[in-house]
Amino acid sequence: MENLIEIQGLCKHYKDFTLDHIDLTVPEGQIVGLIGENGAGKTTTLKAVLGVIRPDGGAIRLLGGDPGDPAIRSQVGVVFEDSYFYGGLCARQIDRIMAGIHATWDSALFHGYCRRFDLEESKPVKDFSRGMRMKMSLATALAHRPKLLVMDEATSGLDPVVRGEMLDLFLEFIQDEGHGVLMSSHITADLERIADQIAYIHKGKLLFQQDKDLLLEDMAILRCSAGEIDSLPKNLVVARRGGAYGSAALVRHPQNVRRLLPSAVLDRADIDEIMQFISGGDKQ
Amino acid sequence: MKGLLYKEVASLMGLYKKNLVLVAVIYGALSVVTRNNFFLFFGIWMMGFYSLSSFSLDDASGWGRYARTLPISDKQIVGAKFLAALIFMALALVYALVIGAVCWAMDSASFAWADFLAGVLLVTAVALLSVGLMFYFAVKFGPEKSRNYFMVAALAVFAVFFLAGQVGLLEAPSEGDLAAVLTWMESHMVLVPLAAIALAGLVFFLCYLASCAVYRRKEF
Repeated sequence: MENLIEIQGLCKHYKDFTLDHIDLTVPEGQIVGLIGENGAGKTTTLKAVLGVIRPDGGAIRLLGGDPGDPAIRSQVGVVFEDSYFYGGLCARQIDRIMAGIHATWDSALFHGYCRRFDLEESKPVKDFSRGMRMKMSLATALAHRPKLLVMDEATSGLDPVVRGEMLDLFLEFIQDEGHGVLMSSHITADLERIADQIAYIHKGKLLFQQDKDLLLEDMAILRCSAGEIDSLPKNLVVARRGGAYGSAALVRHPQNVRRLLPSAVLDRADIDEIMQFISGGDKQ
Repeated sequence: MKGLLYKEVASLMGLYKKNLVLVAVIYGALSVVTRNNFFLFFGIWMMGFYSLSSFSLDDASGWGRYARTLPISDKQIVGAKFLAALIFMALALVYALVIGAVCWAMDSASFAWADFLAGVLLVTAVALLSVGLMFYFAVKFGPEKSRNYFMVAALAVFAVFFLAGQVGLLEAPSEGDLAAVLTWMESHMVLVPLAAIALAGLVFFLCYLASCAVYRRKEF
């Protein structure tokens, strides 16, 4: 399996933030979900992948080449948080603009997506709802038949129905084994539904990139007394928190924990909880 | 490049379409009725100024960040803006010529084509200079600050001449000198405007190159 994106030791320094030696890959045929708190470095990572910003260190290979190479960029579809065309333009004009930019632009495909998404082609973008604008962005990202989709919070702020439609489209896109998706999202339920791998960035560092199913199978929430948590081997406890009603810990290898603490309660951990435990942001 | 140019023109027309029609009607009518070319000349400069709005539209929509992900070069992105400005100024120039022809048709005796054409070309030269500088400032500092920097730059030029005069580096021209310059200009009615256009065109092109260099270093 070939990697569509390979990031090694990516660094980017700002006055108040540093992206610190990020290693990340997006293999063919996979959807990689990038998670992290606000300001963790997800957007900075995506910008570096796309060549929007220059890294201060590390190496990025995008589809086997340099992100700044126009020939490479022509094979990438991008969706950012909101529309990026002047609001007075309509879908027909966007079609004409993009046809003059992408050599592989397929107007028929674009119009097909507009029909599928119920986008009125003569209506100015500014009159669309946010959901409609995101659909327009997605149609624009897909109409030149890219190999790779890179999306930054593409589903945030959308209602469940629109989000569902978009997620179905991502799954459709990934049916081609040569395609790949890298998407950041705060809506971890979306990633649980469609992602093959999860990469977690916390305060500018990549904490892990792991197969989603393995991650969810391998982690659990242990609810018991603080003493019981203390009694576990250190390598089983990922993070812990104490509260008025007892203690809880995010633990690895739940079957081993169950063997050691047969009477303790072990719940399935979802991505939100894993994030909350690791970031320490869920103080109760 | 074709798509980029279309994006610039379509965005600006979308923003200013009604305003441009209104201005064209009013300025055209005023020029014909008052036989004053000022409005036509001003229109050329104004159209260049209008095209500066494309930077504001891009800033508001986040186009700069998206454009970097497209298979286009920085030179093409900047070039499309400069070309769009040229198209806008050319439209105003053609409009001025059309209204000039109307004025001439209505009263050929009092309409001096040579003066009119020289005026149009000189104003176009000033517009090229202004727009080139403003676009450079817009790329470097953003569209909002661009106008201020342009004003400061224009004031600085005047200040240099003023101060040079105050400290005695420049002698005030006598009436005879001025008359001689005007006579010389009148006798070179073709050469002076064309030289002005050539010089302004060169500055415009240099501003484009400098803008490309700045844009290449920009991050969004």
